[in-house]
Amino acid sequence: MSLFQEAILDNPIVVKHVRSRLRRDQVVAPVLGTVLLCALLTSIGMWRGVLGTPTLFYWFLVGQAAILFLSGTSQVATVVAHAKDSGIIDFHRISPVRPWALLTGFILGGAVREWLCYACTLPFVLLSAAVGAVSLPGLLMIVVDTIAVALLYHTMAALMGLVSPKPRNVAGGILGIVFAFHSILLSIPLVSPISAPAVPTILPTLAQAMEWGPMMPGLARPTFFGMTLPGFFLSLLHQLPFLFFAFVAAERKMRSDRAYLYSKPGVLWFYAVIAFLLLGDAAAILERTWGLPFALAPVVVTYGLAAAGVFLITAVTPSAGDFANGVLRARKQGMAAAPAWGDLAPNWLPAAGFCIILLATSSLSATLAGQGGWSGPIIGASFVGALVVYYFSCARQAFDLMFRKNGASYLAMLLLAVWILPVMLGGMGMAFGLDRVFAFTVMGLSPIFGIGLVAWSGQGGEVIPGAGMAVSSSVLFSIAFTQLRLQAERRARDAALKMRDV
Amino acid sequence: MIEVRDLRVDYDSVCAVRDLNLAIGRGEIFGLIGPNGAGKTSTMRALIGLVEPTYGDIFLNGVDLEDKREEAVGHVGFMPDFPPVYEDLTCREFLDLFACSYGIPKEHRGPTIERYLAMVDLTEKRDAFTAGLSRGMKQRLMLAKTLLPEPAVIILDEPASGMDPHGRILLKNIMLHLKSQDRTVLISSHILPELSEFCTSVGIMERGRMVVTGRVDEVTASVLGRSEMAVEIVSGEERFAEILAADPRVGALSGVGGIYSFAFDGGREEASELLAELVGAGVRVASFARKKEGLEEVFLKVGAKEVS
Repeated sequence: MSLFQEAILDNPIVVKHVRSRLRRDQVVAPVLGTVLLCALLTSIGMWRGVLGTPTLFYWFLVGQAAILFLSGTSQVATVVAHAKDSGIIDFHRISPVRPWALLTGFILGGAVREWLCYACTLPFVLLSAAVGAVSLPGLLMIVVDTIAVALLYHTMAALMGLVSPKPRNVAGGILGIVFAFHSILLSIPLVSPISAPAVPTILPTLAQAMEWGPMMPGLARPTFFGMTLPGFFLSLLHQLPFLFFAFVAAERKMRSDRAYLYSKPGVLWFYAVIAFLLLGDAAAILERTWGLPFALAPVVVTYGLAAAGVFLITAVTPSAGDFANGVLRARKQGMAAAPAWGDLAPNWLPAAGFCIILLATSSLSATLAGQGGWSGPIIGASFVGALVVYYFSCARQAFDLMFRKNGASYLAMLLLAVWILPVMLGGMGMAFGLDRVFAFTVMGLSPIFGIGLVAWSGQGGEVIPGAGMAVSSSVLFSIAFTQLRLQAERRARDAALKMRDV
Repeated sequence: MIEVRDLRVDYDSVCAVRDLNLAIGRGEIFGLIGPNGAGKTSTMRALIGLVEPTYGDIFLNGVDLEDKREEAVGHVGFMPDFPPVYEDLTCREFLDLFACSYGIPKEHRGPTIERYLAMVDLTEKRDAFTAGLSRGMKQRLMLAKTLLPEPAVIILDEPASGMDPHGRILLKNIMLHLKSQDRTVLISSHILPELSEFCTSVGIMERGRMVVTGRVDEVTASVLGRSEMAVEIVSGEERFAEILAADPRVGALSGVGGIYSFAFDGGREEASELLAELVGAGVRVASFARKKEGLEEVFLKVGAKEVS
């Protein structure tokens, strides 16, 4: 069987959804509604003589986005969550259909009615393009990118359906994410000259296809590693890796409910790709906008990768139960500990990998910048970022082992105390006229402010208060959480072996 | 066949299955008995690859589950205690979905589906949506779905729960049919008399451990000390009574009108010896069988008291 047959034609999940979602009584109303709405828009366009203008064309795009990005995404999330909630997904898991094919079936089949409605809009969009709203190559780029973004959202929806502990709320959750994603990323280039955050959206493709050059120079000529690239190409360059890694995570969850989102090597690949994209975008973020020196690119990279590291390490941190299973399995197989790259091993290896990638990327960005380069404060800021990722991973592992299901909540409370509160207290202190040195010192405790303070401390030879606090607190936390992790691992290992003998 | 070596399953701090060893051969119907929380469902879910064991080896039809998961589970049909179905599909479409999943060629799917619908007596509901089925009918539909790919190994978790008497008779007949086809069946149930009707062997689990396992008569004999034999005699009743009275393995004899029962302290070999002796002495024996109703007693004696 060819891959195409396995993925679509002979995919039982696709066939199931084609049957259940395209019954006559269910499909007539939405399809007829879509066609009538498009016909109405076209008629108005012809009547007002604006059929060949971008204004009418944009309305078609809004409609397509509503169908695929909102309705389609919500449907996929609902279908997957229902299959998981009812337990029927287990039957698929033990069938000979491979997990990737099952996932593809849910992604394509779950929104099959929406894809049909989208297809119904295409003749009208083509007509609008034919009379001059957009060039035909431009239209093709928009269609391809719309499909890519829809697949990205649908895959994220399937992933959310598979991981959500409350399947009934999953559709609302994913719509919230999609809405927030679009609102933030799309609004930035529309209200400011910063274009880089919009690259994972369809906006750069639209800018290229609709020739927005005079309106938004940043979007019309987006850059990557300082090179001007077509917006369409740049959009796909950002969307496809995220689509791939979202698919990988969802495929693992489709294979087994108890699987982690990524394997340890897999998460390092994902992190490296994020680093690559961030490195390429860093120049555009700074150069095109506030006129800040590109030497600050390493700081942007550090912030971005520290945030990504903190987020991704949770995806590969084994729970207390799995850690114990790893210990018992290793003993049974005559090994001292679970293989370090295995899912049941503690998270220190990916954490170390994240730190190396962060430092290397930050160093590379400084070299590429060539202004100020890999100077002391930039090195300091990057090290603080790497230490933050490291101590967070230690804390996460230790708290999970010590407090089990409450670990994440306790860690969140701790982080609120050491990451958020200092920034709020320092900020409030400054607002109420507190001494600047004291306020900065308090704020330096948090890496949210601390990384910036350390980087800033080198500018113009000025000594910035709080930079020392940022460095020392991250070193201190790293030592403390390393000790805590080692102790928690030792106790968890002893407890597991004791349990085995009971 | 099913072979399990040193299986252990843990959930967080709870050990659900502890160092379980099990071998179920072809043509064997193995009843898994135990109170709630004994580890029966965890064992079954580990056997079909839905739960990753902490350690242990599982072979399904000779294929290692860990090394060749897709091939191994391809030999298995599984039915859970509560049947999840796609409620927006008809019965025929639902079975077709799984026929397609298991690679049954398109041209064979229709007749196969019809055959299994008939087997579970749902032919008339062929085009009815599954949402409209009763729980018992959904169980039967699920049974059809489980048997549809004709798996060599069949794992049924409480298949009779929710079934009406008609459904239970169907289930019993299907079990006997599967036995005649040399399939391997692992079945769990709280309805012990029902299990004793078709199981060839049983295992009693408690707190994750397999406490007792073996052929039904052997388990009964080993746990209860002696088992109950039922004999129907056509003629030679006096000689029959004499032989039994002389045999130290035989307990008190009861019964009238040619139908007798007595306690017997011996396994299959001893039982066959006794039968041969009776026949050799000119006693005309119409039936000679070990009563299997002793599973409840066995279960209670082993210590599991939480049958629900």
